[in-house]
Amino acid sequence: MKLHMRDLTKAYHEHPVLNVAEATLGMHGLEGLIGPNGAGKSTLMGLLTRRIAATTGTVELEDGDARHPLNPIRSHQVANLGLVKTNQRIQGFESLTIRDNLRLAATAHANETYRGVLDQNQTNDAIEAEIDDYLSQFTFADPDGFAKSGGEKKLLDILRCLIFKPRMLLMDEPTAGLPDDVTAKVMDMVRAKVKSGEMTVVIVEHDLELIWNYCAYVHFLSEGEILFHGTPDDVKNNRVVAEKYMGV
Amino acid sequence: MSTIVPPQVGSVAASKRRGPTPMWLIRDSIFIGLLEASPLILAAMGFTLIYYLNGFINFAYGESITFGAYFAVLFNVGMGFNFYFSIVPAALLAGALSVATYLFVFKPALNRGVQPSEMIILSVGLSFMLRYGLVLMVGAENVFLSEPPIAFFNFGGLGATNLQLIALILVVIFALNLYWLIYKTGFGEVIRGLANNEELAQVSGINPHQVSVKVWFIAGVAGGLSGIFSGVFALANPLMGWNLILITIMVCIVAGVGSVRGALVASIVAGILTSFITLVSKPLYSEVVLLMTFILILWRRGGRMA
Amino acid sequence: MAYLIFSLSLMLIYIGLAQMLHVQFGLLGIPNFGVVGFWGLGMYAVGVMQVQLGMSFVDAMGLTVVLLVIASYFLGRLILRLERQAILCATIAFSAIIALLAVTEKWMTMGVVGLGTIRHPFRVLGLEEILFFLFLLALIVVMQILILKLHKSRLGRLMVATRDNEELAASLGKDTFQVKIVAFTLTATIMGVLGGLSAPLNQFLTPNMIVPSITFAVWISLVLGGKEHALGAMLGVFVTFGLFDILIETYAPVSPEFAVVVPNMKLFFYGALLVGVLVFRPTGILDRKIKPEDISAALSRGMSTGLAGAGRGMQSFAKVADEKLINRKKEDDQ
Repeated sequence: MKLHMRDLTKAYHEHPVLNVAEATLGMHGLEGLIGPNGAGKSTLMGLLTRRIAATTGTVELEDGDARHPLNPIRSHQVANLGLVKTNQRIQGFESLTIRDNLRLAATAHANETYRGVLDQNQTNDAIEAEIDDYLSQFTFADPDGFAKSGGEKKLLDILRCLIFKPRMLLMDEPTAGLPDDVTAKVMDMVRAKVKSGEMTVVIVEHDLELIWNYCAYVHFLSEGEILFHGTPDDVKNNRVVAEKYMGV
Repeated sequence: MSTIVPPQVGSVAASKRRGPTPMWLIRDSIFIGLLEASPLILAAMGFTLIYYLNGFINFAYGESITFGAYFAVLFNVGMGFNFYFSIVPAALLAGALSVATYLFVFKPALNRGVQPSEMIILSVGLSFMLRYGLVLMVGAENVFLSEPPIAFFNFGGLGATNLQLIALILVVIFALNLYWLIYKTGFGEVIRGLANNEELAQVSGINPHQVSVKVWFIAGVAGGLSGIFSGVFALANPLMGWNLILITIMVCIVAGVGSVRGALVASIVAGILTSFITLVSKPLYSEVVLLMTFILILWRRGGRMA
Repeated sequence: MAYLIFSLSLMLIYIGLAQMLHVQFGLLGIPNFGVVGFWGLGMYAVGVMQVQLGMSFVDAMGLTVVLLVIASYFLGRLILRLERQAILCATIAFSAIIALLAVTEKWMTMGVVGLGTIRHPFRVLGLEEILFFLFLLALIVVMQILILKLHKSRLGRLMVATRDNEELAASLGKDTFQVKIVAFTLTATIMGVLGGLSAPLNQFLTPNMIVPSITFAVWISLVLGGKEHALGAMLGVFVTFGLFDILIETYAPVSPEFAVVVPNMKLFFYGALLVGVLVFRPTGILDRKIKPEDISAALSRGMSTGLAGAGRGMQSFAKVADEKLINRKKEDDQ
């Protein structure tokens, strides 16, 4: 899946924070989006998943031959087209156990009906197997209980998105708050899913090592505009990026 | 459920005498509305102060109103004080009651991190406790203040009593003082600082506890005065505060909760609107219309309270 | 005896209202402070259709359901996107409107004069009250079973998720607004149906029946019993209504002059209880982590050893509850 943006702007109180004339994300499988603090990265992520309303411009989701304009639809409809985002800030369902969190994300909304309340069997074997698989790969202090530390909640946020099986995944600073070994495990899993063609991924990150290691293509955002994009080597050697971001 | 006491004197007769031509109707509405909005103006300003500082809707504020009126009855009828001399101690006691509710109920709950929507439920519980505690002590019957002799004044065909005028003057004085306190003094700045960022305010040496106690006291005094003036216009009963608090909350939310200025304007507008609808239809319909308008305004605004 | 059946029937109505509020507030986080508005609307609608239009109880109830669905759906559309404090105020305003209209629309409701007489739907001589009671009992039991099932269902899980973090649930493809509006329409309509069923109980309707203290009594029951627990509504009504309205008002030997004070004292204690619960144990008696199985296991252990074991059953229930709490404390400490 790919995301096309055209003339996308966002202003708060007439103060512009984002202005993207034209860009496409998701052409190269695993892509990175980098830029200094306040460049508008999180705003862009929010605009793409319809959590924030754009001031002007359009966003379209390309899925094979079909093109879905995202402007007129609501946040849950975006997700159901296959586009999902992990959260920078820790978020979660405090009253649900880790397993119920994953069950919620894995269950199709169409199955959460009133008629379904009467079903004897509320679990789905395929989903349970998948959850067991995830929980065997990632360790939680109490896998049958609740996520406790900030790191566990952050990891659960990412796993919720993965088990949803998106076709395109946006990751907003996935490493913040995660231990290094867990980050590596998550990123290896993401890379494998991208390679197998399950989804395309865009990562927003400050950890440049991670970007250079995993991403096939990198976009550089500064002061609300995408100033440069190219392969990691191109970006590393770009003068603009070096000046504005890496302080060289 | 009569929230704003129906016109007592002169006004209705005056409008009947002339017949409701549009110009007279507007003039009468404004005049009667201003006279009768005084309890509402006071209650709205006090309620807004608490909401602004602590961020939850305090239904128990209605009991400051009720108890204000009952304290006045206590001094005026029970102890035989002159009516005007009963006002001051009654209002101060209402302020003390308000501080007590803060110290013994709301502050512990806020410290425990109770959510805003549950703070409201807590305040409703406290409101019932105080109200029916009062009923258990003094009974549910209406009580009357023994008022000074009533004199009528005539303003171009519109009647008003001395008590209505005194209430209006006191409200104006109190409102101006409160306005000055909030917008022109250091104390007002402190309140605004606390409401916006408690931690920052604390770092800059503000004692939030002291400020809160003062704010709850001022709000309680405003509520008590509101109750006393409602009592002057008609009578006092244990439900009067509960009846007034609903309209007060509506007015404050429509005004944008947290703005004392907005509460002032909106309560005056609500007073005038109520008397206008009362003049053209039945008093109860004016409340139905106000309540429906309230729901629609909330909907239009998308639920942002301020 | 007749009075006891009346009281018990009324208690069942309160349990039903608290159950619906549990779904609205406990599961979905919608603070409906206009319970008495929906209840009153249903009660007056059935009363007006029966008395003024001469319709049968069943026809009147059918038409009332249609009216309630329209009213609660329309109100839901207006308010369910708002933040919680705003929903709370808007629902209070709704119930105040209903109470006022009951007074002003005299051509339908007879105003303060009162509307009557509404007859019981089961016209079996001498057995009307008891049959109606059994019907209500069956209804409440069915609703309780459905709520227990809802708690374990996929839909129930989605409701809790919507309460916890609506935006996050939407980002996972859940149409949270639809979940809320359907559930609100359904539960508010059932509140109205319970009102319609209260009409023949009360037989004679006056506007001063639609008072905020009914909303308040339902809220205190739910919050006291445990707002997030499937059995919280029922337990809460047993403790409040069962204790005060039935045990004390019916059986306690109070002198006539003191009897007048009892209703006021009741509301005073309700208020004090609510304050105490919210400040000291915000989850209510039944914490959400105490599972219904724990209770039934504890109770059946008690039952099996006969009456003498009942006390032990309660002890074991308390022990289970304590263990849960200790475990939870441990969890928190970690």
